[in-house]
Amino acid sequence: MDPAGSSRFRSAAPADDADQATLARIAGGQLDALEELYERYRTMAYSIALRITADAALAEDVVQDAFLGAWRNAARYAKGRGSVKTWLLSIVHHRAVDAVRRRRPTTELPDREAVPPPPLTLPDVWPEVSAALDRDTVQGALRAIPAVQREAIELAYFGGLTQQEIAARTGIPLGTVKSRMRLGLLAMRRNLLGETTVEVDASSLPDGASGPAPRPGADA
Amino acid sequence: MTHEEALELAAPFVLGALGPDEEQAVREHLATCDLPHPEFEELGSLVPLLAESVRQVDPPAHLRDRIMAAAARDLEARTAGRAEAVGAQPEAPTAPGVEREAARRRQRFIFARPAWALAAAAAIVIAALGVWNIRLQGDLAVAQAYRDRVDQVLAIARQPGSTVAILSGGQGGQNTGLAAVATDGTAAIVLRGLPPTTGSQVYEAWVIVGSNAPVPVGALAYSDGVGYLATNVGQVGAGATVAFTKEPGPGATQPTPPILSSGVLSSAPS
Repeated sequence: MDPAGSSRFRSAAPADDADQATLARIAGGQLDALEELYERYRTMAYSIALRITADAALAEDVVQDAFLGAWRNAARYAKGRGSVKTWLLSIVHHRAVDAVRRRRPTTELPDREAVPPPPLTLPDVWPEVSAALDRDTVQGALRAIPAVQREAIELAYFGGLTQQEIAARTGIPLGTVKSRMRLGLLAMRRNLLGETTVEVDASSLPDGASGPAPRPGADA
Repeated sequence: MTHEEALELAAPFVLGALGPDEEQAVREHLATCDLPHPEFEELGSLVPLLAESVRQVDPPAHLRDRIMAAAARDLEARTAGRAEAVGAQPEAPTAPGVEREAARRRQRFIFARPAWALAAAAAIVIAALGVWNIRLQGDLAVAQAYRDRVDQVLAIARQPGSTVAILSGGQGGQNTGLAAVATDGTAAIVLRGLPPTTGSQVYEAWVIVGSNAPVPVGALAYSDGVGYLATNVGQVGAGATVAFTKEPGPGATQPTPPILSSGVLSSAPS
């Protein structure tokens, strides 16, 4: 099953209830629950790991590390600090970034055996909105922001570079790197929020957007 | 780190673009500061969408087996940890790095679904049998040899209709092991904790069905305290006993007491 690809619009809340039940069983040491979680998120997890590492074997190691991290630390998942999916994908992201930084011997590295940190993100403040977004829409919102902001976000999130490394690589002052990341994320957010507002002004849509997206569950 | 300094780092923080020290400092600030941090939520909520925006690629099928096998091993280690605590084993040096490396190497074995479920059950059995005591004694090679043999027994155990026996006999986890018999009689047996044999002595395996006389099924190949036998024992079902004796030489037709180790075959978990 590919929960992300099979239907255009996802319904987040019921899925997360199921995920939390699965995670509770994982915390109880039930291997079949881990397999359930893996079946649900294997494609998403592998895709993000592969995007960051650009190495199929390393991506497998990352996904294995991440699911074992989830297996060992399921009891540490804090409800109310983001969905299980967000938690899991943040572990994958963190492990993938660790892996690529490890390939760069000059980079300062965290303790390899440290337990996975809590998610980098705080609660999804607009789950209803984000749940209604499909991949094309998000990609469109990313493409629609200024190129220098997109570059900063991509070098950080997909490249695994620290802000200092981005500054060094691009020859841009650190403060500018930080503000490009921030402005880029805020611009994406504005684009995406606009995308899901029915009373949207069509002229404000990014190029390639065909119109307002249906509300969550509209085609469920 | 001040509140303002933390806010300044919100964007690189949510994107994972801080070094470990800076990241830790921000985490500590968030955990201890009572002021609101809307910037982190606002920017952070975009990040899961970035993660999902990438081109979707299915992982290779074997990755699931690798992960499930590794998790089963992890469960085994936890169980072993508890068993060690309960058994009040003397403190022994452990080599976590070496053991992890060994664990990685062990992940190569391939299970078909849902064979890992059986592996997990067997892993708990192995832990209970004291293989971890071997590890604690520092002899990883023996532990590895034993595990490799156990994997071979499991290959039979996970065939539909197979029977499995947990073998035990000696004091303190000696002469323990696992036997599996497939429906066609193909059998594999592994036994550990055996003292070395001398001269032409062999460890002989016997199958006992009901009140019939014990039938010899072969001598164990012995190495470093681990005995292993792959053979065909004919069609013996659940309830039959597998037993071991030390014989003066190969070809014994009647067992020489005492029975060193034995177990009763029962249906394999599925």
